[in-house]
Amino acid sequence: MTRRGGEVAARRSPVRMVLWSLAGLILAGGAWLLFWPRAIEPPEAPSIATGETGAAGEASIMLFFGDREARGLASEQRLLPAQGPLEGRIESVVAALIDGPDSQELVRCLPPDTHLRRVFHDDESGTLFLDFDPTLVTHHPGGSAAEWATLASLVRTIGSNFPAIARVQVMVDGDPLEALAGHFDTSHPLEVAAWQ
Amino acid sequence: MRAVFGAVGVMLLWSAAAWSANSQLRVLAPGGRVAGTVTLERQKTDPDEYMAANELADALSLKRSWNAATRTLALLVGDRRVQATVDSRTILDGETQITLGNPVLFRRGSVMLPLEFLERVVVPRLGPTAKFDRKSRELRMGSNDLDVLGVDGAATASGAAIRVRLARARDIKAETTSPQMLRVQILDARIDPVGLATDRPAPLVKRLRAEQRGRDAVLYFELDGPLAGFTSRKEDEGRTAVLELQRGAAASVPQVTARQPVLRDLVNATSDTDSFDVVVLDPGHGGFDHGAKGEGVVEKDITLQLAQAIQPVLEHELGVRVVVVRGGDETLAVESRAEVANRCGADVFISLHCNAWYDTSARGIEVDYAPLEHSTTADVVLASARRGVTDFTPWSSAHVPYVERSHRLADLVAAALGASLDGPSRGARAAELEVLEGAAMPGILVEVGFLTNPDDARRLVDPDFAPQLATGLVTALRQFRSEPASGPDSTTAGGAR
Repeated sequence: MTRRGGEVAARRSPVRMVLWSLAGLILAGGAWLLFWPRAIEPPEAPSIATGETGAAGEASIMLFFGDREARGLASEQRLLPAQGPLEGRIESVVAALIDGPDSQELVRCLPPDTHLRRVFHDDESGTLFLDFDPTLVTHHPGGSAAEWATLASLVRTIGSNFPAIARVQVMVDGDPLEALAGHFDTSHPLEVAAWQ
Repeated sequence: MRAVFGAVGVMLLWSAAAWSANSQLRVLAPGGRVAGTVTLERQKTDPDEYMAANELADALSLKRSWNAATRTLALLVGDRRVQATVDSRTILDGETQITLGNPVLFRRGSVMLPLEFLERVVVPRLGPTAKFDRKSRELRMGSNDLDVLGVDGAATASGAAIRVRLARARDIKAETTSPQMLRVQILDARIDPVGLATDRPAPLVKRLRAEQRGRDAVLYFELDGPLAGFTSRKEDEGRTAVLELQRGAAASVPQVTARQPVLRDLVNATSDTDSFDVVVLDPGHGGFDHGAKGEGVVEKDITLQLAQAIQPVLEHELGVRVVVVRGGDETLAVESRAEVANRCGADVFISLHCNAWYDTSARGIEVDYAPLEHSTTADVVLASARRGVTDFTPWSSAHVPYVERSHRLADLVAAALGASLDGPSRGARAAELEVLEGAAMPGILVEVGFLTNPDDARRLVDPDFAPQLATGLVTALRQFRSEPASGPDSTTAGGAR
C-alpha cells in the first residue's frame, strides 16, 4: 500500500508541477494586467521619418512649396541633417523652406527675408512653437491663397517629417500670431491632421 | 485545477471589491463654478480616500509624466516638479521630502494618490488663494489665477458706466464693432469665459460674453440700442477699467434692423425660409489692415469701391436690401463682419477680397466656402439645427448648419462670374476662413482677382469690372433664391482647400 501509494504520488507529481507552473503563469499574467501602467505613457520621442540617409548623417526630408499657378502645394525631397536636437533639425527644415525650391515649377511660400528666431517643443502636448521675426507678416503678400500656402507649407512639412508633432503654433516676436494676413485664425496651434 | 481558478477568481474579486467609489472632489473656479470633478475611492483597509492621478491632473490641468522603470509619477504643480513613487509614502518636491500617512498605490493602470497628497502637496503649490475643504471635499481655486474678476455697471445721466474689475493693472483696447456691440480687449489677461458670461450685467447692456483669445481676454458687450459714443479710463491704479457709454444713434456703421439676437438662436436667424430680402456685402480688410498690394493699389480700397458699386445693382435687380459692412476706411475685427450679417438677419453673406501669390502668373477669380468642421461641437450644432432645436450655439460653429448651402452658392457664383467676367475663373474651393465661421446664413468669400498679376490688377480697377461682377452675382443669387432649402442644411458637406 505504501509502495503503491508512493508510486501514485510519484506518477502524479509531474502533473502537479505542470499545474502549479500554469497557475503561477496565470497569476503572473493577471498581476501584469492589473498592475502594469497603461494610463500614463511616456511621450513618443520626436524623430525624423524614415528615408534615404546621406553619408554625413543626413536624411531625405519632404519640403512643401507652392506651384506657380496657386493651385496647391507640391513636395520636393532634400537631404538635411538627421542628427542632433529636434529644435536644430526643425530650424534646418524651416530654413530650407525659406530658401525656396530647386524646381523652377515651384515657388517658396514664405517671404525670402523671413527669420526664424526660435523653435521650442512641448513634448507633453506635441505642440511645436515656431517664433518668427515680424518680416513674416510685414513682407507677406497677403491674399487668402498666399496666406493658406504659407501656413500649409509649414504645417505639412513639419507634420510629414516629424510624426510626434501634432500641432504647430506660429508666433511672432514671442507672441502667438492672431492672423498672418487676415483670413485664417492662427491664435491657436494649427492641427497637423487638419492641414494635411 | 479548481484551486488555481479559485485563486485567480479570488484575486480578481479582491481587486475589484477592495476599492469602492466613495464621493467626489469638486474643483471650483472663481465665482463658484464647478470646473471639474474627481472621483474619490476608498480601500476597505485604508482610512484615507484615494483619487486617480490622471483625473486629478486633468481637473487641475497639470502636466504629468510617468517613469515605468521606477514607477514614479511626476506632476508639474505651479512651478514645482512633484514626484510620487508607487508603494512609497515619500513625496519628492525638488530636494524636499514630504512623508504621507498612506502610500501611493497602483490600481488597474492608474496611480492612486491619497487625499492627503492633494491637501499637503498640491494645494500649497497652487497659490495662496487656493483652498481645500476636506469636509465638503471642495477645492476652491484662487482668484489670482484670473485677471478679469468681474463686470458691473450703473446708470448715468447720458447712458451707463461699466466697470471691469481686474486683479492687476492691465492695458485695454475698446472699440465699437457695430452700432450695438462694444468689444473690449484686455491685453495679457486670463479670463473665465463661462463664469463671466451673463445677461444684463449693466444698464444698456443686453448680454455679456467673453473669450480667451491667445494671451488676451476679450469682452463683448451686446447693447440694447446704438451708442453715440463712449470713453474709457482707468481707476484704482489701473485695476478697474471704466467705460462711459453715451446712448444715441451711431453714424459710421450702417444702421440695420435687428431681426434676431446675435448670439442666441443663431440657427433661427434664417429660419424664415420663404423670404430672401437681405444681402450683406463685406468689403474685406480696411483701416490699418491694407490687405494685398499690387500695381499701385491696395486691396482694402478695391473691395470697398466694388461693394459700393454693386450695392445698388443688387438692390434694383433682386429687390433686396443690401447692407455694406463698412462705409469707409475703417478697421473692423474679423468677427464683427459676420456679426453685422447676423444682426441684419441676412439671407446671404458675401465677403469681397483680392488675392495674392508668390508668382505673378497666378490669376483669376475664385470663390471660397467653409468646409464642414469635423468636431463633436459641430456635429451637435448640425443635429440640433436639423431637428429644429434652438439652443446656445458657439460662435465658431454658427456657420456649420449652412455649409452645404454655402457650397452650392459658391458653385453658382463661380459659374456665373466665369461667364460674366473677361478673366478666368478658378472655381469654388473649401477653406477654413475665419470671416465665415460666425455667419448664421449661407456665406462665401469672393477673391475677385490676383493683385500680384499685372493683368488682374489692371482689370480690377477698370470701370467695367464692377458692373460685370454685379451681373454675375445677380445671376447666381437669382438661381440660389429660386432653389429650396434656405434654412439649415439637410445633408453634410466636406472637403478642404
